[in-house]
Amino acid sequence: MFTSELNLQARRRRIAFLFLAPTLTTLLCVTVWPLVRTIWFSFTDTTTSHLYEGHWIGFDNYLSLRTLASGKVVWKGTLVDPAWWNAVWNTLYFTILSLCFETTFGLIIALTLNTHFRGRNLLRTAILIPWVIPSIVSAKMWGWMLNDQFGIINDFLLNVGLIREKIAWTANFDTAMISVLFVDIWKTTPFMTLLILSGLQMIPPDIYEAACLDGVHPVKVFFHITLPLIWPTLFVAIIFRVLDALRMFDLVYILTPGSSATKTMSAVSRENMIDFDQFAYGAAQSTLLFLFLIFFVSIALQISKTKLLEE
Amino acid sequence: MAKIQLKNLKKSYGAIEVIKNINLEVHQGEFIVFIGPSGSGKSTLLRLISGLGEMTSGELLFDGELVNNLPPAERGIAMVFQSYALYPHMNVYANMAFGMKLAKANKEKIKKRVLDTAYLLQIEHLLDRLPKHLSGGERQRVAIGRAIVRNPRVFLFDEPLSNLDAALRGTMRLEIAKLHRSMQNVTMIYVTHDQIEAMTLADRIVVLRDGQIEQVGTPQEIYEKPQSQFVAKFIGNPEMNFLTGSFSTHLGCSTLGIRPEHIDIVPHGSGVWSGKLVHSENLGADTYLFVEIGADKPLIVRQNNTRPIPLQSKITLNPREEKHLYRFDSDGKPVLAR
Repeated sequence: MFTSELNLQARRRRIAFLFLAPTLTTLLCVTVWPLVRTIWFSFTDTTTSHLYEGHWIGFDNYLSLRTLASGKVVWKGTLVDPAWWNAVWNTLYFTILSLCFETTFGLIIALTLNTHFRGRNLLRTAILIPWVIPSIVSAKMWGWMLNDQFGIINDFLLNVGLIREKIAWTANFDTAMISVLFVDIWKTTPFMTLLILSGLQMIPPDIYEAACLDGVHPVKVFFHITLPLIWPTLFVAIIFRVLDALRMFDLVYILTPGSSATKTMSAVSRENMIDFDQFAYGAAQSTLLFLFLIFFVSIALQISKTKLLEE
Repeated sequence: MAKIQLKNLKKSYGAIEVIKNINLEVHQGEFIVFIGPSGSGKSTLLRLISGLGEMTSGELLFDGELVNNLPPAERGIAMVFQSYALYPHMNVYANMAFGMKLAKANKEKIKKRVLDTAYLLQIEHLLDRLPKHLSGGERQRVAIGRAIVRNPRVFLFDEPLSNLDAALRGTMRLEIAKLHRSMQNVTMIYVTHDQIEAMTLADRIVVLRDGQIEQVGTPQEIYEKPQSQFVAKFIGNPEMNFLTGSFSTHLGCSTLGIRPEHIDIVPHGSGVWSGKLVHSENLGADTYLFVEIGADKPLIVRQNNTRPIPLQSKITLNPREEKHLYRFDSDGKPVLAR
């Protein structure tokens, strides 16, 4: 009796493992192995043209110090590379601005869609279209629309009289980042809207009726009732969005290739690995980006944990 | 502190009329219960009075003053919801103080009012808890407390005890009765589908059916003098027995009604109905006997003696008094005494 029970447990465990095995194997192959490999590469002098001939060089790709014959001390490595710090700044700038706009617009649209009006369901579906279009397609599409020669946007702005001459939105150093931000906000606001809307729909309507009887002004209802109640959803949406924005690559790469005004950490890392034949150097930058994300996630988890403990 | 008048009140959603011409006067300090089956419009009517719902036509007056266009917050009402509708992210104190706080009331005054109310409802120990850490009964107490803090002239209850278990419902019923006694100036309107709540709490009961008032009266009147077969059937547990055909025609009516508690078992040969006992339910203090007398359904007889009667035995029954016979015509209206 006892042994058969043990057998049953062992069998259950084996079946559970069997079911988990495909996922674990896939994860191991496509996530863990490339990650470990990248980190290892970052400590070597591997080049793209000679991928298997790298040697261990320690932290040199990150930071190294040489004393020249003249006695001059020279720092080298990613951590003193102005191009890298420019990319870090671009990424942070992009993340913060896109997050602010997408959250604000998402909130406004979600609040609108949460009210009752005719055609609401149609609008709810329609609003998702920008998010459903693949990034490459929307980047190419906006690339043409923003084009200085043939773009419809220049044409429109000229006709309306807002600009005096055509602007190369994506190529111009001053407007490149604005273009990327604009397209990203256009593309990702629906995602924020959808998440916030799901949070709004979890609020029981009678709470608003109670507030109405309490005579609470609608603006105060928003700040004292709606916002605190959707905060958990909003928090998750923001984390998703920040993680996504910190890894921003596709829009920048397609819309504004090579522009130092928009080059993000991912873009710089790819450039070193593929274009500049500095595979290990790019790997070091990838590793730094990875640490950056880990740091952010742990802060976010810490916040949500303390929030949970409070409750 | 308000007299409430409803004049020709109507409410429709598109072509569907859910409230059909309601006229009612609620006296100051009165406890009125709206009762009716689901879909009778009782909750809708309460929402019209609160201002959360808009009427299609008619007049609503508080103390003679037309309040049709007054927003809910300015009507001087407080409402207790079936689902409690507490603000989930605020503790009990904040829930109760919220309205006053946003109305910029004096902090000391808020504190005093909340603490007094908490004392009245014995929820002082719960003040810093969140709603999700309270039991159903505690939540309902807080919801009532939040309503009291508003110092309303009209108190509205929308099925407040429906989400509680039977034992707790009994306790809370007593609490609400006590509350009504301690706030004698405040007019209370209470919606329920539970006839025990209606009978025990109400000064007057309003029975609603299909958006219309079927009868208004004290619990006693509703029970003793139902103005229709519908009311007779709706109030009383177990339900009134209805006999048709040969049982009723010789009494000059289409349907004859008699309550189970008004039927006596009598010696053979002396009663008007006789039949076989087909089923009995022993509830401890009472026993319900189901007697097959040849009508559509077995006649239910409520007996409070515990002497068991074997199934299938023959029983003779007689109405206790002539006045306990209710006679209705084919429209369900009472037939006047001959």
